[in-house]
Amino acid sequence: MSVCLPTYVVIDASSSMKPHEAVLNATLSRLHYNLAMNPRVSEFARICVIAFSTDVHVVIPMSDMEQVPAMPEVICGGRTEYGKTFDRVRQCIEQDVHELRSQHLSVLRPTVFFLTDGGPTDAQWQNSFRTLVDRDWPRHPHVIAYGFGGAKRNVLEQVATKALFIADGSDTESALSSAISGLLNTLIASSQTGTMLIDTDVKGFEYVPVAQEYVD
Amino acid sequence: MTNPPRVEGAGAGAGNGAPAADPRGWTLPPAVRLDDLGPLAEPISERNGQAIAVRPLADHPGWLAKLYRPGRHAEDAARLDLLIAAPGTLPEADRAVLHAGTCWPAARIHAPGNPAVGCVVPMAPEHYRAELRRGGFGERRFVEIDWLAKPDASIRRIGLPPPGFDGRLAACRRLAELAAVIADLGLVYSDWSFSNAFWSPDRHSVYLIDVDGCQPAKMPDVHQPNWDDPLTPQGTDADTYTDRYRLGLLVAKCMTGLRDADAFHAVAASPWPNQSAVCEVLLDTLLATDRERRPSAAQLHQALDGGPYLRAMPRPPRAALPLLPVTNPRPRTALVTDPEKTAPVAPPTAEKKQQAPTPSYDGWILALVVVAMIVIFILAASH
Repeated sequence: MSVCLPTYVVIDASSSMKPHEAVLNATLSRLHYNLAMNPRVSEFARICVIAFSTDVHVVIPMSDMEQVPAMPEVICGGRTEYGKTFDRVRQCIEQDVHELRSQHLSVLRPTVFFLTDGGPTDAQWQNSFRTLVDRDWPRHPHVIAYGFGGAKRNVLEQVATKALFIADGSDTESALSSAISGLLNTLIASSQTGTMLIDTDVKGFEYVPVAQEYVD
Repeated sequence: MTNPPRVEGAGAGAGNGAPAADPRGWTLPPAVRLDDLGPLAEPISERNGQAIAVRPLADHPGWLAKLYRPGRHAEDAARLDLLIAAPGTLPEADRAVLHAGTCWPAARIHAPGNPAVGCVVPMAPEHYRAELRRGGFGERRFVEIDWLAKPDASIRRIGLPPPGFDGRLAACRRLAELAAVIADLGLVYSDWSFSNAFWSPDRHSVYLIDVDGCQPAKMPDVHQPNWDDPLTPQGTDADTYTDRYRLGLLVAKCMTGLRDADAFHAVAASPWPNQSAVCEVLLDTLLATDRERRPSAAQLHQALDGGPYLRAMPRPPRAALPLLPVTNPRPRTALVTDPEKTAPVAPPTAEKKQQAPTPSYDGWILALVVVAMIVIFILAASH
């Protein structure tokens, strides 16, 4: 039975990202190209891309990226609503794990790569987050967070369950590109071993070990 | 710094202690000092598997220094020496196969206090590179055999010529031929996978890399996801029977362009009437419940070459085929387009496997039936 890693690339598409929209889309296209060009990686790491702002948009449902012709364009705007995003990710995981299992795949714990340049604009996001990472839910994901621009370190320290990366002051566009490179390297390394191997050496980011890690 | 002696055009197998000529163009002594290799260019690969770096030799185009992680032992030096000497023990035709289709090590690199710093290997020939394009991106790079295990449509999509049946057969024949030579040498490779072989879409040939990891008879099993031999338990060594399984798996995937259970089922459907023995060899390799009854690489090569499969009787019992994925008729999540959204996402250009959910009328019909029954009951009761 083949092993697969359900991977959620959750990207902040709020208004603060508007000036960086072109870079965001170019970065997503590069992510798509690199995965689509490596069939064994794209088969191992099934990807779902989610953009969030005032609402949550499933840009690419869980897919083998080799089968996806191109990445859609994301147009930024709106607030930075974390709560709805975590609710939606939970729904996706529930559905995707079911579908992957029906394909007789051995499904690893899902991993959420959470990329944001701002703090949450909704007050009650913690409830949704707690539900997402509740260890009593067998499908609870790992969360690897990348914060840049106006991202709040103290907030992301609550969100990251596996690893946290905080931009060291480089500009948002460089940080975004580096974060996606780190994400890609993590997926490539993990595909070689069949276990989660995080690339902690991400240019322009400080790697913050997560003190309280969830038990698999 | 002195370069090792360059012996070009010398006859093979000098037999007088001098290095045998290497048809790949540069003959080295079997062991060289790192300092003797001249300047090393920037690494083309780092921290990959057993190597800490792979660096081109600036003064010898087409050759690489593969530098191992520290802590390799003297036994490793002996093993490398055995590998380096191995082609000299082969018939000329097999030696040519090995040199043309693998980056077989040419010399062991040593340094004071470290007998196995690494080894000198040839770079894969240029015809294993191709321009791969997708979307607005493209780059020239080595084509991993990963791609041959995809359908022709996928291969066409990245701008490569689709191999068709003949191209797949030719490449797999070369793969099995190489495996047979390695097995004849009594060596175990273990590392058969999508990333350790290149494929030439134009010449339909293959090229194995990382063969310097081969060991005699058995070696620690190199774990790679989706390449586990079900009859080689975790923690035990890989041997020639493990190699047979992994080779069979790779050939099954490359012949069918499919993966996982789909590849097994496609082979079982015997789709190649002119190579009917191939299916039987592959099924025995992949499904035999006794690992020692797996056909050899030479038998697979013979079948791929249009020859017969001479199977010892009784036939090896086979395990059942793996289950095929369930085709899920349920529509998948549609792209969310909330009318209140302030951050629109352009419609995906992805192939839509999913459709927007259709509204359900079941509830309304049930409600109407209930109301109708109540009305009939009231009317009946009032009469």
